[in-house]
Amino acid sequence: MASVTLKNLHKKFGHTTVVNNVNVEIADGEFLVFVGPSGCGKTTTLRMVAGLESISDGEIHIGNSLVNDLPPGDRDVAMVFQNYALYSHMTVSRNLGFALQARGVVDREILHRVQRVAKMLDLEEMLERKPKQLSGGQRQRVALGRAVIRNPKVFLMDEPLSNLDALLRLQTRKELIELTSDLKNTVIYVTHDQVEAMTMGHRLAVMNKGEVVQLDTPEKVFNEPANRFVAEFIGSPPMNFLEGQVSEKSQKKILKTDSFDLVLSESMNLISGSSVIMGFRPHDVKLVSEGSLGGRVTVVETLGAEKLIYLQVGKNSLSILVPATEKIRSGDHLQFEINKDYLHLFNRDDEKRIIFSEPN
Amino acid sequence: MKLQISIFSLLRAFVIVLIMFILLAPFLWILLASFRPNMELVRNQSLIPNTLTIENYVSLFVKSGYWQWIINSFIVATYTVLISLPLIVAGAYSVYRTHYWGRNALSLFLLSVYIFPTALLVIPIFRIFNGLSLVDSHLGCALLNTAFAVPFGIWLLQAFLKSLPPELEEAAAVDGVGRMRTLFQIIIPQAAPGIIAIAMFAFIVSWTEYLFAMTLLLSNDLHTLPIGLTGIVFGQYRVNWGFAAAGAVGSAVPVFFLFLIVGRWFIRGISAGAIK
Repeated sequence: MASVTLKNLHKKFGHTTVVNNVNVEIADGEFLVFVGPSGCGKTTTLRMVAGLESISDGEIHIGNSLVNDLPPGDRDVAMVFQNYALYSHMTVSRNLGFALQARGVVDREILHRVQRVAKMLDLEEMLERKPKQLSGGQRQRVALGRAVIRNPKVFLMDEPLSNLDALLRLQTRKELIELTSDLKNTVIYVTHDQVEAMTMGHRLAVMNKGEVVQLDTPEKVFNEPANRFVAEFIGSPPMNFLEGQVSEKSQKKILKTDSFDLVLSESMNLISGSSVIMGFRPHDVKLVSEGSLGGRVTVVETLGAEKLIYLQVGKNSLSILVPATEKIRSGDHLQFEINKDYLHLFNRDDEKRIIFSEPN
Repeated sequence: MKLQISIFSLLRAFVIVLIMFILLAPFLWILLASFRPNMELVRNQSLIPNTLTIENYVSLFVKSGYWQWIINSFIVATYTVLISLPLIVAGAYSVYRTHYWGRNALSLFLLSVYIFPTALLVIPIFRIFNGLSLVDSHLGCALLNTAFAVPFGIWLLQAFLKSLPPELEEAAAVDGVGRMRTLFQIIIPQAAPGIIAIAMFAFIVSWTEYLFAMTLLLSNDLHTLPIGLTGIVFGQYRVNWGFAAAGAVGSAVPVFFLFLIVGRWFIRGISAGAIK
């Protein structure tokens, strides 16, 4: 068990910077998720921690030691790869025990630990099988077992669930959460799936274009996204955005967009004339019979318990979530209200979140 | 509709048979020719034999030095495989995995071995090998065959290694498995099908090699199959076609069965995880 510190971490491939000044402190036993779109540098960051990628600049500490120049095998980390990287010519049992064998652990101890891990991951029946004879989920568990058996300081996981089908992914996600919370090892997890990130991570490091744009708990990232990118990337269905300008009318701040005008709550003390981007999530909208906001339904998507409605409001298409019991058809005209407590405002120029001081 | 399909499949079957015939006809002709008297082969070149005889095989197996040549060929080919495989594996792994200055240039330069017409090399090589006391020895012959098998083998195997997922080695590296252990216990078993193919390639290079064997193996009792057979096939005044055909069959069949057995054994080895 150990903490991991990434300090001013940079990675360049030629003239392209793929990881730019990443600073993250991961506490002992923490489950930290790097999340972001493909090409954002999250996997490269993980590979630098593993020692599979050289560091262009910056420092990586595992526990109290600087590991920049340590080979992967000396860092006491274990990695689970997206494609599992199982040794197809070895049985499950040998796959699990191989690293221990290479490290000179005695056979009896290897056998003992293989059996314990197999029991933990429900692989006891499969120990003599080859990876080829296993299902996707079982292979995934073998890959996990190969990491667990070493009891390393840190688990590094590179999209370990992305090759599983939807149902199995849900189930494995739950098992992985249980397993890692039992083991209490530090986990660094990489995914592009924001739901996976939200459900698994103690904290998320949201990455975009090589930089960590927000490092916080899932709740904070969801409720107080640091910028428009985070707001758009985290949360499904994604947030609605409208550009507008603040004006003042009879001592009330009004946000004028090209679709509608919205009276802002008093706590949002913006300067008149400032350009902002307004964001609200589809579920922070309520249908009303009488209201100032309205639009025409263009598409209705039934999601099960809810319906996702696309509304044409002026020039903009907005999405709102309503209970599936609402009888709505495309072409209908709907009136709605936005819950202003969950309104997100971002500066138009740098797209950063506008933070209002809490009223005393 | 149904008729159309059957006509199409009939046509397809015909084309396949035709192509197979074109490919296999020379082999079939050789096989048939090996059972025909030489005089008939000289006069009548049709595919269908008039008379069948085993006289060619009697000459081959009983009257010629066939068994000695087979053993010699086998010794030289085995030496060649044993010497060239470690070099090919090490070379291919080096080209594929390690980083050093001039690596790419070196890997391309390897193939330049094949630029020179081998006939030009005969005399210098004879002088060099004579100086090293490698003339008239199977080992010398195998060393030369190795020189010709290794560059292409490296080129072939590194392409095969590139097709392996790099995560296999990365997983081993993170697990603290040393380079050599990774090479021997992960890369080589994973590349086994490629390595087997290359071993077969090296074996055949040696098995069919004529020019250098002819130059280096002076004593009759060291002759390999190609030298031995040509000595008899091309008599002083005439060519013994029947014997040539029997010789061709007699040199191909052992290799054919060897590969069948070795191939199976290797494949079983891989699936049992026995190759370490």
